[in-house]
Amino acid sequence: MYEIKMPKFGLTMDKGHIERWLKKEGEYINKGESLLEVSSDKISNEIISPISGFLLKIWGQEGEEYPVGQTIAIVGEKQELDQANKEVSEIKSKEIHLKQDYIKTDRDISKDSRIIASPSAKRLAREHHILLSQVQGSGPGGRITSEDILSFLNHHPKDNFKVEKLSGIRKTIIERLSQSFHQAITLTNITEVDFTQLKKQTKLNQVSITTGIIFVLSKILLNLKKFNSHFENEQLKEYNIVNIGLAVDTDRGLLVPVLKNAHLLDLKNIQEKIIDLSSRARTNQLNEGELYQSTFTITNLGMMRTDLFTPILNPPEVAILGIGRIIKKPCIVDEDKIAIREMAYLSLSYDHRIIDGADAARFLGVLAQSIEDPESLLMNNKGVE
Amino acid sequence: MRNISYAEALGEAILEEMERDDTIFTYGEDVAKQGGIFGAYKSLLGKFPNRIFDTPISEEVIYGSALGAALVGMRPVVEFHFADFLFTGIQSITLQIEKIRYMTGGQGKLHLVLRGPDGVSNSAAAQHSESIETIFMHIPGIKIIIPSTPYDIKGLMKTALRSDDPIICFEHKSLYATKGEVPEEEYFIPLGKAEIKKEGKDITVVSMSRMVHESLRAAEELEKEGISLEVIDLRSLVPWDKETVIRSVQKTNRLIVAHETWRRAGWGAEIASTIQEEAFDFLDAPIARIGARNVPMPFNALMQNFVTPNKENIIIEAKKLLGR
Amino acid sequence: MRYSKNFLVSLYQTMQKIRKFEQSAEQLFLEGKLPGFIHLYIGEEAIATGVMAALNQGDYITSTHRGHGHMIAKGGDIKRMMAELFGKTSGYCKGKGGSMHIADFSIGVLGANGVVGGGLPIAIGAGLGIKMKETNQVVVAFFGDGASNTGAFHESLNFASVYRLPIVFINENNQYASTAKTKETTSVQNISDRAVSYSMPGITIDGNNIIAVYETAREAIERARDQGGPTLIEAKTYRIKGHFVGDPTKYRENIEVNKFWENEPIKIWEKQLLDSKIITDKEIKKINEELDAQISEAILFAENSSDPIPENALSDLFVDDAGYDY
Repeated sequence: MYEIKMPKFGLTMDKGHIERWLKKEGEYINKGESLLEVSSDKISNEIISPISGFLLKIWGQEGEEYPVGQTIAIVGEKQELDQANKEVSEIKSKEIHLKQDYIKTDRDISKDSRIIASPSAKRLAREHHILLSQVQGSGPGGRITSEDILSFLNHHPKDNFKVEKLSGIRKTIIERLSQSFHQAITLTNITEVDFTQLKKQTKLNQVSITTGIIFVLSKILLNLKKFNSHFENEQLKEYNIVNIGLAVDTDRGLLVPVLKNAHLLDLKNIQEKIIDLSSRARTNQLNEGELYQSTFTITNLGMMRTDLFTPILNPPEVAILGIGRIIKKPCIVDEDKIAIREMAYLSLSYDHRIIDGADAARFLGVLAQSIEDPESLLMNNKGVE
Repeated sequence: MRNISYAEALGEAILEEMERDDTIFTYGEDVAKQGGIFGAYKSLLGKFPNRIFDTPISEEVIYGSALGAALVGMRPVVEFHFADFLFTGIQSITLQIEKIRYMTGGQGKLHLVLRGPDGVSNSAAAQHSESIETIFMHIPGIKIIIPSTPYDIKGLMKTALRSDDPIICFEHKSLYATKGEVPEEEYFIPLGKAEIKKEGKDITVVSMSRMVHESLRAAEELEKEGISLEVIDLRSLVPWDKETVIRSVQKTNRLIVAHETWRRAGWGAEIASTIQEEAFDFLDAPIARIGARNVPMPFNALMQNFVTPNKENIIIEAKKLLGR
Repeated sequence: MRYSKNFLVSLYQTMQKIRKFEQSAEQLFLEGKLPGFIHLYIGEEAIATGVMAALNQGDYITSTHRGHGHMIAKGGDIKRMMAELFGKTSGYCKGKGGSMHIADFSIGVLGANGVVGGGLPIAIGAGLGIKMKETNQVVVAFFGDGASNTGAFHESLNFASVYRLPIVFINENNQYASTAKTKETTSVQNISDRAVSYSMPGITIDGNNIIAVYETAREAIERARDQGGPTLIEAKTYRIKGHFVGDPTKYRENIEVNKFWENEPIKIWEKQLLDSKIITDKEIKKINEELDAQISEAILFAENSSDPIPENALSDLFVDDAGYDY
């Protein structure tokens, strides 16, 4: 008999969210087959069965969170079923998981104390998608009556939405963005940059603009280390390596895979890695380690027609770069001549507690210059082995 | 509009129909010379001496003869003296009148009316106080009307006298002398059509006969306390107006069924059961049944009043349903 | 009194028709073809035949649980009767009544009746109705010796007497009330003695003598028609068969039954008709062959008729069943 426990994907993971079971209770599973999908605050993964046997008991429920190490299922031989049941009842008696975290349903509540509601009240609650547990009963013995539901409806306008349980990823996003919003003092500097040259160069090298930007950015971050740092527990850690977080839009929400040691990579390497990372982010195939330890994050909404936006920090980082749409514009160049140039806005958001406005302006200026005249940097296009 | 008594309205209905239709005749104990022991036929005294007559105390024949007379084309109206005495001739009703059309594959029209007094009156005791309408609701084959007002008894009796089916009419002893508005012009009240006597929003009270008046009194008192009763008079029990009751319960979400007959297995149980089957999702409270305590009617007035339901029972039950 | 040959032969025909119908019913029942239970009129045919011969078509009768004979004698259609015994749609009651509830109001048969004495109050009502309508119709109430001990009998005779109703009460005293011997359960020697209490003529006759039955009934019927009031006629006979088909008849000896087979009405009447040369053997044979054919035809009709659909059970209770909850 083998207990399947809530796994730990990364250093910081302390609880996991069961997205769905891929096997049913009683099914035979082979070693190496996927058992269930678990998401942590960062990632969702399929859990593989380490042994062959019957899935005797499923204890962990879909949509619920359990602490790392909690038994969520038992695999074994059929004759071990009784023992498995016993184990499960022991797990239940321990009640160690985080029940308070999820939204209780009427059924959960009625397990503790039955909700007394009249048939009419129940019908109305059904029709209006109201949880009876939210309604105060005014009838004899606290029975919820139709009047109670109607008065509840009067005070709570009729729902025209449906309540969706939050995924693990969304919870993480909420947590981190709230943290960023409430702790950092974010300011954004914006400048319009001429991408004509960079575009030309990247095209020559058969890589994307983003690759070009990352290449240029990593070189600058190595020099302006304050922008390549973490601020945590009143400590500022300035890094000697550049790990670029890439904000990737996936159908499960925003993911930020990390391109490690970007400063050591040449254009081609960067190009390959970002394609790999973003495509695996979209297909939910990232490893836990690939989501940690970015030192600076970029987010590009240009391909979706956004020209200008103010990104929010990815804590504990202190700066983030937003890239807008590159678009041809008439520009004044070389002594008052008008020329068509490929222009885009760069927005640098930064934690004003750490970075002064002038520093930010300087950083953005250097970055803009490097993009507008990338040759000196690109000539030295090679990775460090 | 003129005010006449329940007995007068009943007499008018029979008289008008006798004048129109000479197949109608009426008989029973103490009807012709005395006008009925509770005065039901007072207004018929001296009218149609050949078609209104007194009979021997032979209940099995009195009820059974109504069937025979109907089969040869007449429309007999038979008074049963006291509802209690329906039992002395019960086979003529339950085994003959209620079954013969069905048993013969739909032959014949049993246009006959059995009518008479029922209910509690001053210390009439156990053999003269019964309300036994439920028994006739239970056994298929006869229609039941139970009018509560002069207007209703005239309209319903006139309908009954033109019906081709057997009908039994229960008239509460305490109602004969009550007065009410009855128009001069002819009108009919169909069977199976309840009347909402008073609209309300908190609790529906379904009742008939004397209990309609008790319900209205209870409603009046409860109104002062902010409780609004909707009072429905079914008027006929077979068929009964399910739709009106369901519509009302859909509005009030609470139901009390109040009758004078015994609470245990009284017709209120049938109404309650039907409503929980067909309007379960509209109920905010259990359906309350009000009826007499399950004993024969005692003689002593204190005991009689104790076992007989009245407006107080309705008030108590209404408050209980609302948790007050 | 002198009677036409046709009349005298018709009495024979009717009695024989009843006998053959009943014998067929018994046979079919024993073969397991008929549901329920049936009560046979065998041995009592002279009473129904004689009384009905004295009635007009517009007159009424109420019958009993042993009612096939009354129905046939009053002109009932044996095809529809047989179909009813089978419970078929083409039966008199569409399969809702069966043997004990056969009726045809259109020919004045106000129903057989499963309740002993149950027909008597109905006959009173018919009599009252006739009195109200002021027609010259008459009602004959058939009832058994058992019914003469019910309250309904006493109430009815009193009622009829008080109102001088045009009713003739025909008591068919077949000497058994179900399994009980009448003479052991009845206070009077002759049931007709009870007429005294109700101030009406009471006559006891030999119920197996067709002419006696006819003449007595005719006199009473004419009196009733002439507003002379009711009569109680006791026609003594014998229930040759059990109370119902399949009755183990433990309450009597076979020897007693055999004695009455010697005295059964059809045998007596046939002999009389032959002895007085009113009818020939050949004619008798022809009559019986015709009747056999009619009975066979009735059985064929019944067997070939369709069963009712079960949902038919939910009709025929009321003329107007709007709002009625089946």
